[in-house]
Amino acid sequence: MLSFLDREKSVAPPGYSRWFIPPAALAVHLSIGQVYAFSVFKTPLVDRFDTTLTAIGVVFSISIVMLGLSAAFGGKWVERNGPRKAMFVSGVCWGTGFLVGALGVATGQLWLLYLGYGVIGGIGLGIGYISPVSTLIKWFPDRPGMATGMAIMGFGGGALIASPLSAAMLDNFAATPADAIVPAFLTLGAVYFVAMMLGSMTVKVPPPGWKPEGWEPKPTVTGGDLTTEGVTVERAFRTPQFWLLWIVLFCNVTAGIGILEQAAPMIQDFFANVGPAEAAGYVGVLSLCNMLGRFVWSSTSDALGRKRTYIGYLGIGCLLYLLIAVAGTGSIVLFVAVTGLILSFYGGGFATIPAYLKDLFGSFNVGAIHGRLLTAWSCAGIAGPLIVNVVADYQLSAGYSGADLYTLSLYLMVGVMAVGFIANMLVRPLSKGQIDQDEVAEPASSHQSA
Amino acid sequence: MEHNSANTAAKAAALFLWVVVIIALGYGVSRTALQAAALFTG
Repeated sequence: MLSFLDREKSVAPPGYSRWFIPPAALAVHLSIGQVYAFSVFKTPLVDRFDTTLTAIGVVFSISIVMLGLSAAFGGKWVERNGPRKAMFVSGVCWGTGFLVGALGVATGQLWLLYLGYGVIGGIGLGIGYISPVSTLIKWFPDRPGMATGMAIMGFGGGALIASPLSAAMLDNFAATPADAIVPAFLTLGAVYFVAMMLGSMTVKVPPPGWKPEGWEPKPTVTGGDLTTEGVTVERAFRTPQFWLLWIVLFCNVTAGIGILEQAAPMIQDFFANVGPAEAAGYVGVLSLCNMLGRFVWSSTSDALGRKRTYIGYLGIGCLLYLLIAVAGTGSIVLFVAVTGLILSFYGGGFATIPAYLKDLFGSFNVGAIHGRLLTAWSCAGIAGPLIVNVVADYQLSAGYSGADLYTLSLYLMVGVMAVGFIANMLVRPLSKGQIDQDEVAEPASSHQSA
Repeated sequence: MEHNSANTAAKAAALFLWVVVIIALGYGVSRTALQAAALFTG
């Protein structure tokens, strides 16, 4: 019945321009990127359910945990079934999540919000996040950093769109924001569902053997071609290279969260003349840097090389954290510029990692391998805020105030960056012995059965 | 003929999506930039 979603039905005809593919990926990532604007709903939800911030915060946590789990376990399914089916499933889950969540809000049942936005929506997040990556890399094997940067920039951009839109809906859909949540959720769910269905219907995979005109892939150490073959997920999972990149992503994300988690209070503690409105403006600057870094640095990595790019993210990032720790209160311009650069590296780290995986493990299972690697994001999402908040509480109880509240966590982040830097330096291309030809995967199109 | 019309429809949909995506991103970036300006003018 749904055979139009099959991979074979989504093969592009000869001469189809690859530039028709990125908007499909962007439509999905801009939609699921809403999750980072969930905080707009937090206070109205607290009022609506007459509960605590912690109880509502659990909704976001569940969605991010489900993102990690579904990306990790759904990656192989995505590779086998193709981007069209994956984006379709993602859109159905993401839209349904809002629907079920709205039902929970309307009936006062918090567990339905956990189930809807958290579990079902979270599955949509994970499948949606990885669904276009593999396809974009296959269409742009000559510029994988730029291609994945475009899509993953969409995830950052999604929050920039959803935040003011959600605030406007909460202000205008009902007399109070608490009463406006249900129509806002229904509106967002419908809009995102349509956008993701459009993306699903327009995405296409390149024909077998397709490559950009004038481009030749680099041969592997075995003389093979990782762009037409590809290491299996199981094989990649057992290599030191995979785990070194896991550490790299974990450290880069943890360090970025070190700023993100405490951006607004931190700038107000560093500079006495900065009030809540300016602090909100600062958070806006960081959001823009995060989004732009995803596209700019990831695209730059095509010329610079992935390893050198991460030397920048982690090495320069380490020095920048040290600069804030030592001289952060000296100048607000310097503070904003330095933290903005760190956040651009945070975004760049997310966007560049699929291309790094493609360089090491080949194109054909990069989506599934990427899904497994995103468990680093889930772990950093727990570790980062934990480090920041535990240290802040400790510093408060020790009688510190102002900028001194953050010194210890800033130095800890210097250490985290240094660990990631070392892990990146240890990454080497796969050796002949690591690419066992028996385990080299065939192109996904040959996996399709009737 | 049917194949060509399906491809034309797919290209048209992709172009439409480009427009939607650019407008949506433009909205998000401009609203955030206005908010960010408060840091320098506030």
